[in-house]
Amino acid sequence: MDLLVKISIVLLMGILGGRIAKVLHLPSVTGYLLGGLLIGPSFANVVTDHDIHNFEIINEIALAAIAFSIGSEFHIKDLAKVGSKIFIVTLVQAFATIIAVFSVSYFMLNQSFELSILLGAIAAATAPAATTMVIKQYKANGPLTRTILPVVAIDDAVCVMAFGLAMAVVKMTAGSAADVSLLSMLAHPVIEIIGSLAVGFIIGVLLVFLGNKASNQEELIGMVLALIIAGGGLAHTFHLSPILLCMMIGATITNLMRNPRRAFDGLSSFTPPIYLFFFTLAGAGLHLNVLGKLGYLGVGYIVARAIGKIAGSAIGAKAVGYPDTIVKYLGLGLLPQAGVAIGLAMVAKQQLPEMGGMLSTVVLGGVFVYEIIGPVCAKIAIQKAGEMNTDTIDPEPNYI
Amino acid sequence: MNIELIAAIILLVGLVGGKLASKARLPSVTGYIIVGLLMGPSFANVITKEMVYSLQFVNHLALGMLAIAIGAELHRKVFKKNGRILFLVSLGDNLGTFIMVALITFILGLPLAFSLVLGVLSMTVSPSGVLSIIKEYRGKGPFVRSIMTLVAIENLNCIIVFGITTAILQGVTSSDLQGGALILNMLIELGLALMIGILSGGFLAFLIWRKTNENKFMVMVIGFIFLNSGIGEIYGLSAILINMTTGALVTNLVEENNILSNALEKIELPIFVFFLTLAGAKLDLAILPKIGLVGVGYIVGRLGGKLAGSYISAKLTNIGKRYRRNLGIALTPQAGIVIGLSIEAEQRLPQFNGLITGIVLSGVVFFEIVGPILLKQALKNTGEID
Repeated sequence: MDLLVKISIVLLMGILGGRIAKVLHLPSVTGYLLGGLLIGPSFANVVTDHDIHNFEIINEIALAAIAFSIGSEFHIKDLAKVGSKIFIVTLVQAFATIIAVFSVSYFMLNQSFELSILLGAIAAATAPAATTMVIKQYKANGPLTRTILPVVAIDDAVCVMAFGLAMAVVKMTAGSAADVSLLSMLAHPVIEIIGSLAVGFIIGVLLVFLGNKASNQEELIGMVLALIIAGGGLAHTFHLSPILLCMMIGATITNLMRNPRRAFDGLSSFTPPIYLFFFTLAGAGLHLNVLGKLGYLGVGYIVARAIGKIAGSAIGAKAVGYPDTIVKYLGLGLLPQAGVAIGLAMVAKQQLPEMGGMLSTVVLGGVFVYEIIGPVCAKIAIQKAGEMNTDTIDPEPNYI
Repeated sequence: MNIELIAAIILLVGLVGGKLASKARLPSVTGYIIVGLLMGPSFANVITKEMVYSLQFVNHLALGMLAIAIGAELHRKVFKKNGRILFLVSLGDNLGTFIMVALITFILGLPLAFSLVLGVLSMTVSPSGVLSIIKEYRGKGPFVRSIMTLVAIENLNCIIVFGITTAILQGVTSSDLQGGALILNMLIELGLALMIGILSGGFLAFLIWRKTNENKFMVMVIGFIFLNSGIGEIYGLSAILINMTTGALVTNLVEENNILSNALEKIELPIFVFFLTLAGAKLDLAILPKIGLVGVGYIVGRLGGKLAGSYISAKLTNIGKRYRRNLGIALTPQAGIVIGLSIEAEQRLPQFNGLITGIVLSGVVFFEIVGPILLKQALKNTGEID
């Protein structure tokens, strides 16, 4: 079938899914994903894995735009005040998740140490996209909302670090350590994080410079778009994190630009079709058959991750003295998982082929489950925390 | 370099080119095309053919958006009021342009098939070029309104004639199709295109009646543009005609001005910058020596044909003297649609080998620089801008 027709099918199916989700009181994101699932290889196979690969650029743009918009939450002044608290909470929940998944896999299910530690590190990853969408759809605002986004963002850096460490440990114990020193293994994630932030900062400064020259809103949208796409492209060329990098672009202009709201609002008028396409395509990329292969380990992984995220967030939030709503519901908002986890699993599979098959099966199963139920949990979290903007839930959210 | 970087560079450089152009008091479009040219195979060679191919869907979207916008100008009220006059003028203008361009390029040594297609292509008028000038200088009055409608009608004429011409040429080159079958084929093609356009338009109108929210409607419009273009591509129909029909039906069913263009307004600039910069990048200067005189012939023919054709036909109507002389001058901008059609022509008739697009693009560069200046002058002459 023609590529253009497929694009239109993805868009229209996404809208249909969103519509059905509204009837069922689910977040739109879940609707797009389910709509995509129906046209993907699991069911109709209208959109094949090959097509999904062809549309890669739209995914990159969507992720870049989402990360960029999260960057708008990082005001230097606020960060100085609450930054260390958020950082601690992020660390605690990530660490708790790693411990929980590792323990279940290693002690309860008798898996190898290497596999367990890698699963733990990948379990810590969260997907910023779905959570951001849910927050936007319900126009949520409040202490919980303002905590979730930065935590998700910083979690990306923490996860890069944790995964790098886990890989280093695994390679050591696997005995191939002779040719790789611990230092160089550790330097790798550090370089990735610092490099992402540095490149993001430079692009951000460039955007500030160009943006102040833009004569109208449309031109500004064009510039923002061009630079965040460039950020995503550079991240891939130099093996940096596109999420961290684009987030840093957003954070830089938030703090340096005269009127940063213009840039963010401008971009958000361009993004609805891209986001819808992105999520529907992500749904099409889910393979139902991974669920059948999950086994005990998969189920254990999924349950342990949820426990780790929820308990870890609660402990961390309590420790830094956050209000009860955050203690109770932060973890629920951190459950979505998507591309980052898959990407890490692929890296592990490439470098450690002997355990990679098992690892990626478990991770893909986890992504399937968390991608579908994650947004629903996030919705419940902000609903229970009373941070939904009630007059927009019904009848017609302004978002798609 | 990966595809994202290329996309980012195209967009960024295009924007900068547009800015520089407007600093030099040229239309931004000229800037996009020229910087595209600089990045293409003629100079920096940053943008290669394969990259252009994988970004093709943006071109389809941009062309579809343009076609819908033109279609939306075709409201029945306009026809009721002075449909006959406008139709006559457009016919004269189109005919004059067609004859002059085809004749001159043929005399300059192009094969007949090439000259005919060039003649047809020269009939298009750029809606975005005309609209942006009218907006920029806040033109108002009967002349401005007639111009906008003429743009729509002339493009419609062109697309129909284009369909006929390419069908005939395809028939001539592939000997297995005969006269009667050929005409039938063409009619079926036009009919199908109209039908698909009507179905999409009807559905969009239905959504408007149901007061679908803004973002969802935008996505729907984009979805239908892709659907129209994709179906057009599968069955070899004119995507531009399908989308134009959709636009025309929506305006006629929904009594609300600019509802389609408003829906697309938010996303239009980056997409057009991208589209036009990419179009410039496709231009290979290596064919310029080959084009040479023919390119000049095309430009002279189109300019002369427009002036003479519109003047003569306007004389047959009761259009005021002041307007008569300025109609041809006002209708020279040429950009997206003609590039789209020339690409379509190359696809249908592979023997054209890039020459048609090359000539058309050199014409576009000229008319994008001179066209808006002429249009501005025409508006001044008729007293519809201060």
